[in-house]
Amino acid sequence: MTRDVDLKGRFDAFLFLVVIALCGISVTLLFSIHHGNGEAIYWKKQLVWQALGLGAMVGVTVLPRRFWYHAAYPLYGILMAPLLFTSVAAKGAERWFALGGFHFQPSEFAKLGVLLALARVFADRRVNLSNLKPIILPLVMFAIPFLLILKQPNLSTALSVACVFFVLMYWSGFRLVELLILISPLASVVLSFQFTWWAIFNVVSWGLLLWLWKDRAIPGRIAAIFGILIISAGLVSQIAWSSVLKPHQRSRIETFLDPMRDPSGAGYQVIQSQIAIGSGGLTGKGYGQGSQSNLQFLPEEHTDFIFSVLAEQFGLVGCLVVLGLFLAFLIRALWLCFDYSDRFSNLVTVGAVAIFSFHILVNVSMTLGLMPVTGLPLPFLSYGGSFVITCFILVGFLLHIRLGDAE
Amino acid sequence: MITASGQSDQIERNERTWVMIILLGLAMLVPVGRLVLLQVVEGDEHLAVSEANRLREDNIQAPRGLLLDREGRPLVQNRPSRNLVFDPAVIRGHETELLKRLTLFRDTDGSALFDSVQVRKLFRQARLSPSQHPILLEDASPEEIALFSEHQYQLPGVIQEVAMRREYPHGTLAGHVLGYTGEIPEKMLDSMALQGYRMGDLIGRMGLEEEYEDVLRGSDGVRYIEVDAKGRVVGVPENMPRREPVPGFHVRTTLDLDLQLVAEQALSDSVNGSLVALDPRTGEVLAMASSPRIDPNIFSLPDRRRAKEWARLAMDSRRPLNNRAIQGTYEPGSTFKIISSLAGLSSGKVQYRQHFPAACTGGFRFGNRYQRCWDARGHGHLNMNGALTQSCDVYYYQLGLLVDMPWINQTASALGLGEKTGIDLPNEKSGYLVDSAAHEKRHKKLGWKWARGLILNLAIGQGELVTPLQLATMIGGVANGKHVMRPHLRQAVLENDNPVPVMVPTPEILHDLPFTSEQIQFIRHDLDSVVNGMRGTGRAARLPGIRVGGKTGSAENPHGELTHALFVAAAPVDSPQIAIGVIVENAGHGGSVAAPIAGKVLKAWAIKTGRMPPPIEKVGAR
Repeated sequence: MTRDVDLKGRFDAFLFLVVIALCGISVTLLFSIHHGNGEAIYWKKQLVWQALGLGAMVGVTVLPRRFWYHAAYPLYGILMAPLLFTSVAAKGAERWFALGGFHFQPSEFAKLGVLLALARVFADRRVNLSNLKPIILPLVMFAIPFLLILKQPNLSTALSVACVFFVLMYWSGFRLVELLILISPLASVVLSFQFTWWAIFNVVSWGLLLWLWKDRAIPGRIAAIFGILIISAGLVSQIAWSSVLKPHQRSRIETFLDPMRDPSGAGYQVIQSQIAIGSGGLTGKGYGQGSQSNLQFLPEEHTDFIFSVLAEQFGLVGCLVVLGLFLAFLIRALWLCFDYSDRFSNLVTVGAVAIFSFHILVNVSMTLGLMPVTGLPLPFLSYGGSFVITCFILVGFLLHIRLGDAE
Repeated sequence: MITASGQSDQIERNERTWVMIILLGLAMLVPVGRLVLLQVVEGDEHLAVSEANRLREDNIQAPRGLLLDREGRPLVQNRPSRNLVFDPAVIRGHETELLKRLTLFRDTDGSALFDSVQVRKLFRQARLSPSQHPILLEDASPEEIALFSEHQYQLPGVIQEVAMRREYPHGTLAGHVLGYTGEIPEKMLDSMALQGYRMGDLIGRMGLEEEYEDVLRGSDGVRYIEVDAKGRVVGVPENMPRREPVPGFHVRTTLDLDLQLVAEQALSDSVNGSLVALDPRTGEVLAMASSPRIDPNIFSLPDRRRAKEWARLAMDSRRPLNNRAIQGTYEPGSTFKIISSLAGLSSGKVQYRQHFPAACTGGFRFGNRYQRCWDARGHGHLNMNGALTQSCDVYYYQLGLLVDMPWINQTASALGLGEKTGIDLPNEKSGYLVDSAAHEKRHKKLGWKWARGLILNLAIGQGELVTPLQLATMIGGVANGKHVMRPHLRQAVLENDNPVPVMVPTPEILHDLPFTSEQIQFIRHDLDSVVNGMRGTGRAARLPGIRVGGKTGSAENPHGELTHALFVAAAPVDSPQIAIGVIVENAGHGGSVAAPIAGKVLKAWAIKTGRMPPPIEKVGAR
């Protein structure tokens, strides 16, 4: 059997075509962004990144699955190292790493290492809230990169890693309610600023814990620990908020959560983005006719706000097409889990879907003014080197499931 | 290595996969709902905001109407000029180096072209309103433009802009009458904003420019320009509403450029004085000169030089900014004797050929004081003709006492003295006529009371105040005999290139005159004698073949040793077509100083109207 035939039979054309379509849309949109008489520059570079990504994807795909399983831990270590040595500061944050003149975001690639390592560690253990011992190792493996990325500071990427962790936990045995209980102390912190909601939340979660304990779904001590955690987290955060944090720190957090407080500063991007999206209407202003992006009212339009560019030029119709493509891509990827029973591969798939979903939902919500602005790009559409390559590698993992199964 | 999972495990995992698919689908509904809200429900609002983001209203300057002479020759023009301005979007971030480079520029005499304080002020302006272009160098000369073009690559954000500038091609000619334009002062802006004036707009600030501001101004157009987020102009979008500017109307004045030129030449720049020539049949002002002159072009100079010139004018003790023709008030001196004469005749108390009891012996005793005649040798017994021709004061002392001031003033009022003529120029002075009430009111603080002895002075024109324009109006009325016309400068209002005027004002009668034609004939005869008689004082204004009537005056005044020289004239005196009033301050006698000036203008008028042959040019003479 020659290698060519080998590839042909196991190649998921649908998944790949959706990705190519999204990449085409990306280049089309980047081509439309030109300022004044200046030439559009990003689309050419994006093509280069896409080509590199495609190469990386093929590389991932041709290597045997066994290789990835065994390489998971070493890769975790190798990809984590640059995080520790981040040296080049970009926009005041230590997000970039220089390697022979080539700047890249170590956190993007670290995500891949975390994904592989977590998939491998979860591949042979079942976890749930009643049995917390097996979770310690994965928790440590997750916590190290999470904290390193958080320290950069790159909250959004850190959260995307957390998202992977939670989804893998779910797929490895956790029930939804149990996950809800896990994140409930965090929710308590967030809600503690609104006393009424916080009180309701406390009553509901205590009721839930009580019911779960009576139902023998979770042991009593777990219920008690989380019950106390929920109420104390809220109280501590309230105290911290009012007595530990200085007014300017509070104001920064408030502005982050509600950018409209500062319409000419932090809120400017969101406001302009919503104007761009809204002004697109049903069918958009037409290709290349986006005044908000062409006249630079929309900042970062080629990276984080590419969705606004799309919405302005192609309206609701264009947005639905792209969101539909994303949804088709994600569902198709999850669908692979039905057919193949290999736990490691499935965990990688689910983790990859989690990363994609997180990026898509957070980025789109951010441009729509539903979420605070965090520098999280939109997969395949946003311009950017490291991220494009990461996305293609993840696609490689998805395609790889078929390859692997055929072995 | 691959864990073989049991059947149940597979089922459970499939279940979880389904849950994830469903959750994913539900999560997607949130942004979709938001999209529908933003794009469909609120779409129009956001579209409006995005249009407002990119579009700015931009003024299109309406060309200001011109001022023409009576034959359509331009007295004011619009000239395109080049300004060097900052493009705020481009200079941002380059201010320090730009400032360093700009301060290195020297003009031809080696002084710095810009000072750093001024440039910094412009930087600040640029930051505050990035859609406007602060002017770095107004009305740059071709040399300056060349200099900048050479260094353009070192000066990012310094660009050229074309703007219309007011230009007065004849320099100082009729400068006071034409006036000037300047940026609307901030104080005025509040009250004028309703009429569409904006910061930086030009507005007429003097003379006809001010008087006919509404006519000349036109209305600016509006277009939309597209700007980017930094306020940089990107272009002019098509298919946007646009209001074209409506050019201002031209005003054709009654001034005759040729006569004005002669008048200005006749009235030397070294003297303070004024000359007004008008057509008494209509009140059209043919020439109006005031010395010292101003050049309205200085008000169109670039900022710095304008301020310098302005300061020079404002500080000048000769007060060149005054239009003496309507704002200078002078004692009329002997020219007032025309009015006294007419008052005498019309009162019925004085007969033309009558001699007064006292002969002129060089003075006149009134009560315990002796009032002298200007000619100490005395004029002897004179009738009115002799008295006016030789300007005998003693005759008029007696006439004044006989007729009394109320009647004399009434006559003066009928001839337009003591009140504004209502000429279409701003800030005209009304002058002053004196009777007992006016005298006591004016000198209330000093406690001066009216006394009959004052009549002696007033009857010979010492004490009243008149403007040169009033003198011309008066002599025109006297010679005309029927009425005094309101003097005016607007002959017609024209629209752009259309030769048919859109508006022609009808001449306006200021006063009908209460004199009989016999009385007028007497006075005409006297005026004729003044100029043409052997002993007349105004012989310098004679013209061959034309009966010029006139009267000299030499008014004593507290400002100098020499008297103000006055002369009024009308020609032809029987049916006057031109009336002239001349005043030269502290220059001597009316007959020797003022009459020759009027004579030059009269001669030019006579040649122009074909009453006199043009002077034979000496061909080849060296």
